Amino acid sequence: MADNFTFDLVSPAKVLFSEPVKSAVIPGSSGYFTVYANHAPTISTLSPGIILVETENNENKDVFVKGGFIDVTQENVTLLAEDAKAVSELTKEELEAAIDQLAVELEASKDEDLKIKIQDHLAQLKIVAEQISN
Amino acid sequence: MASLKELKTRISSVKATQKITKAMQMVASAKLRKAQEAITATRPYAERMDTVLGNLAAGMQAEGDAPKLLAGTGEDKVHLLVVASAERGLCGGFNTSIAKIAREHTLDLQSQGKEVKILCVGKKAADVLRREFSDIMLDTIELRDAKQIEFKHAATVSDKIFEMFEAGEFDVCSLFYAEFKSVISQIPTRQQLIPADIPAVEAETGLDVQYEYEPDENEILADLLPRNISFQIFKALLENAASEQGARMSAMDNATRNAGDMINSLTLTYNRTRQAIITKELIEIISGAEAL
Repeated sequence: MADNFTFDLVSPAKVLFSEPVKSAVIPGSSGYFTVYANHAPTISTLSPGIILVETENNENKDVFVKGGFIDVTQENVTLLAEDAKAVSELTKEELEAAIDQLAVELEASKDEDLKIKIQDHLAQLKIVAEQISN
Repeated sequence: MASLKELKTRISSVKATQKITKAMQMVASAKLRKAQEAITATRPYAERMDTVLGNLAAGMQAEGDAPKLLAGTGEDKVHLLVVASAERGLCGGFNTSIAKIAREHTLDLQSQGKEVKILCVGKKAADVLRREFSDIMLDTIELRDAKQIEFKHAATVSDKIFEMFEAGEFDVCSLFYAEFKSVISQIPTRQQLIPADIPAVEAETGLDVQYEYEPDENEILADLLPRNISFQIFKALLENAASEQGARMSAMDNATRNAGDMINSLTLTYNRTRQAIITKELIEIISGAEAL
């Protein structure tokens, strides 16, 4: 795939990343998926996980998001996330804090659907934590 | 007439005050610039959010099984008013004007027989409203320690709102804040949060993009609506922060000018008094000499 598309990573406070890229791996809430140029227009929510972006110059960038949603059109991809951080800046303590917090929420929640969702997020976070420690 | 010494101390104290107000004005203008930048930085997020939500909500209302956050509880009995104000005073009519529209709205709703609950963000409006509505005030969320408004501050507020909404403690939620227009004009505004007031997108401009939704539209909407509300609060808090600094800037500018006027008139009195004393002494000497 030679085509590039613009990948925008936007948080409420600012635009974190906006560059032409070749591909992006997205942690969608129903599984990871990879976006190339001319992807079918999609809107999806995200699970916590790592976004892997391949830039024009074949550099790889990985960014951790806690959740958010993505709007894919043929020319550009916009990812709206409340909290995003480059993996290199991510510390184990922060992740563990997030995991603990989710665990508490899991205890507190009564709704079955919500429980499943939180469990899913929890599992995702644990995977990220493992990847980081390696 | 005041003695020379008294006048002198008054002049120097007014001068000291003038220096303080001048400094506050400069600090406020620096902070205002930052606050305005923060508002501009939210635009890209806001635009995207609006488009996506608009698209989704339009389809949803037609189907009629919209989530509660969008459609409301179907009732209109209990109103929750979230009143956002500043933590500090000395910013002209900023806090009072927000408290005023919140008060008017409360009285209006009460006269219609609705139940009203008030949640304050920021201490100043809470202080004003407590005088009249202390029995319906739920809580005050203070952001005193926050140097710069961040998303997590808005999230604390919205979490509280969702918690109450889930528990069925209110039907309608609206937010009061001051919209920043310019340094001399901040408009106290009311915005409805729940049921969400989403501007319907105009009939698809040109391209009719057929989106794939993952998981499905309902779930995405259920996920997005809370995010949008948190974001709306975040935006309102930022607007408020800018308005506060703007109001403070013009208030302090006024104060500095008033202090200047006061110094001028005090100096005039001081000089007159001084001359009067000299003249009096001269007359005394001359008349004393003549008497000899």
